Amino acid sequence: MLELRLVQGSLLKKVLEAIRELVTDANFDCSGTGFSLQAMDSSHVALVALLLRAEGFEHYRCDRNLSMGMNLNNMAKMLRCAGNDDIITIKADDGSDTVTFMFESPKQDKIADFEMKLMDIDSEHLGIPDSEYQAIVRMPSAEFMRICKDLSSIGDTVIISVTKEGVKFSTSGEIGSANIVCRQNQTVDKPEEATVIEMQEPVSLTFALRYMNSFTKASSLSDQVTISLSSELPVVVEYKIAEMGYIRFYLAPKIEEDEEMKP
Amino acid sequence: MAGGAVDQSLLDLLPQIHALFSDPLRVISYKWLSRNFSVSSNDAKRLLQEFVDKNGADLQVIYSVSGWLKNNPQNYCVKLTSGPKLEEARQAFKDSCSVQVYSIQASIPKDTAVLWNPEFVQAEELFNQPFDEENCLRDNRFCGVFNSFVKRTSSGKHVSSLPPKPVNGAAVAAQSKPSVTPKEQSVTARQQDLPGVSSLKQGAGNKSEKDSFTVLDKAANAPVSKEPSIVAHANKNKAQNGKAMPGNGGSLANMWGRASAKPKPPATTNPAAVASVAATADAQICAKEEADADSSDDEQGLKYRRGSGNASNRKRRAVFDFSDDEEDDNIVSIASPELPKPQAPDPVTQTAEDTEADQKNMENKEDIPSNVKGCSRGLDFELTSECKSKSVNTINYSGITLKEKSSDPPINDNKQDSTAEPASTSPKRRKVLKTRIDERGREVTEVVWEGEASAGDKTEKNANTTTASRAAPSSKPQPAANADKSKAPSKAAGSKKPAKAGTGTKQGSIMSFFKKA
Repeated sequence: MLELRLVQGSLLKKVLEAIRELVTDANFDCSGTGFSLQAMDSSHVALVALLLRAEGFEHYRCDRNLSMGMNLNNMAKMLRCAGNDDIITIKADDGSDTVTFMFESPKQDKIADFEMKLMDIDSEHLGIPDSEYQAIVRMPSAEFMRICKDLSSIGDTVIISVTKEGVKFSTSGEIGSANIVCRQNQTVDKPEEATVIEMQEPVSLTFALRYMNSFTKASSLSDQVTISLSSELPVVVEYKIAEMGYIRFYLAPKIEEDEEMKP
Repeated sequence: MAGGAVDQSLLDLLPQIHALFSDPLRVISYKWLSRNFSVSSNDAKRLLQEFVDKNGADLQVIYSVSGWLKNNPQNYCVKLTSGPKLEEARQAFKDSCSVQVYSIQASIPKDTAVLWNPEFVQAEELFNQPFDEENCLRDNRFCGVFNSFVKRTSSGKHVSSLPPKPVNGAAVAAQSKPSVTPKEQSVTARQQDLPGVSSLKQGAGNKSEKDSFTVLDKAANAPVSKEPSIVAHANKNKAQNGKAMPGNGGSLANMWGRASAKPKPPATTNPAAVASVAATADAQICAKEEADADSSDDEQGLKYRRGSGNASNRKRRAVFDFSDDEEDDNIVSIASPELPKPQAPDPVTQTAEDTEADQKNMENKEDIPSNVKGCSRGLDFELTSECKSKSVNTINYSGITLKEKSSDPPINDNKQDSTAEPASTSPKRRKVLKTRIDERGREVTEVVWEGEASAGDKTEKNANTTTASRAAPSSKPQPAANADKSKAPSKAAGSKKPAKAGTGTKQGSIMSFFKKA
């Protein structure tokens, strides 16, 4: 028996909107600690990891670990039927091949049940080691979204370079090139507008912008985004989900092909 | 072994070799030695052998082993091998292989191109000497073969100046000893096909090939026009110009499709020097095709020049049109190709050239706006382009275009002109890079030849672009070049950027970073 009651139902809606472009089918894993998802995109270049901790739910009951395979587009379709202020409850019976989403309006005057068929999904669960990153950039998520959007109109890849001066996003394409530098800025009135750079050593990595762009779909979940970079490691783009958990996107860097350069 | 008696006069050179050898970075090859002291290459080999015998302990020797292979008697193989591996290498040969000292150096270089560089630099210097000055390359004095077919005229000018050729012995033989050529070339091909051949040997494929000639007839030093097979050439380029690969100036035209792939050369101190050596097989093939398609470019080149003045095309494929009659004359008169700048030039000559370059920068700058024809020699071209790539702002050529151009030695200009020259009557084809993302998320970049049908269209287009470029000479190409430049020196981490964002990158997989749980 599984029953998760989430007062701020819009969170779940946003989560789905954030990941459904990247991943079409995924297993949601429910355990005593929380509701989580880990999935790779079809090309195995990016990985999304979602965690909604049990404490974040108004009511969380999970008798035994359960993995529910869902088509995220279908799930998003159903969640779109929920109002933004609705309370969402996810229910599933052990051994059942369906999941039920229940939407309650804030005034409790409307209750809707949506039952969705589950699917069997073979998914590879990857172990993600805790790594020390050479550079961690925290910046307004809207700013990051804007940068990715702007750069993708110029080129296909973005080079993210972190130095003492700041973080630089650069791209180049047929029509030209672009560089956007964001400097450290903690003197703003609102903490959510701060740009904070913690750097152990300068790092510069290249990424495909289309993935970055799809990561930024999660911008509505959080005012701030944290970008963790290490050479030889995938970048982590993390959006915190208020008091509940996080959604993290991992993206493998583009690596220099140097075979042909060797003598 | 190249043993035997060594003349006393030769032995007198030993102290000099010793002095040369004291420079730890210097590679002394027999070829270099031969040219430097004007001794025959066989003597040079003996001399090196002598030197090795005396000072064998503290130096590394690269031997060239040549003979018939055991495994397949049809294969005549020349192989460069380091001292410790000599015996091993000999095992692969039949009994009667010859072992000669190829070069001595303080340590075996990692990059085989280093072996070849000094010779290249040297050959270039020799070719750049005034025409009335005799030197061992020009008068062909060590050539054991005299052949009436060898004409030191302009016959080879379309291909002759392709950069890395000058010391290509196969090419020499192709002209000087036609009868041997087929066999030798097939040998080359086989050598390159040999699976077990060491990388060193591969890298030095052309050299070994050449060695076989020097062994046979010492013909290798002849400054005859050369026409090696393009395949072999490409190989050589890949193998030996490893460092220059990213900057392949010649293929810049192909890179316009993804401006991100802009070269590392801007970051190097002498872009012209790098670019000029780095003309790729692509460029050469392209040039060759163009040459085949339209061999009467001279006139058109002129026409184009007059038609459009010296205003550069606003299109970035526009080509710097330096070719002119004077230069052609030069080439014709000497019949030996202007050599491109060395890839890793000798420090001394380099500084010399640099100062010269600086001196000439001024006049070049003045010349450029009015007319480029002032340049009459290869050196000038390089200087010009160098000065321009240094100061992109004042000049109405895009620095990159220039680099592309400068990567081609002067004699190619005509062909290059026709490549990009819109007024050309030959069907215009250009390489277009098409990048798409395949179903697995990888970026696939295809090089496609795109043909354009009517010459009339082209002319029209040219007219348009030309006028446009007159109106706003440097507006368009400049930002790209500048941006590129500003990117390169920005920081250590950033220096690789241009290459990274371009062809040289592939998308990694997340699976390679995280293991399955």
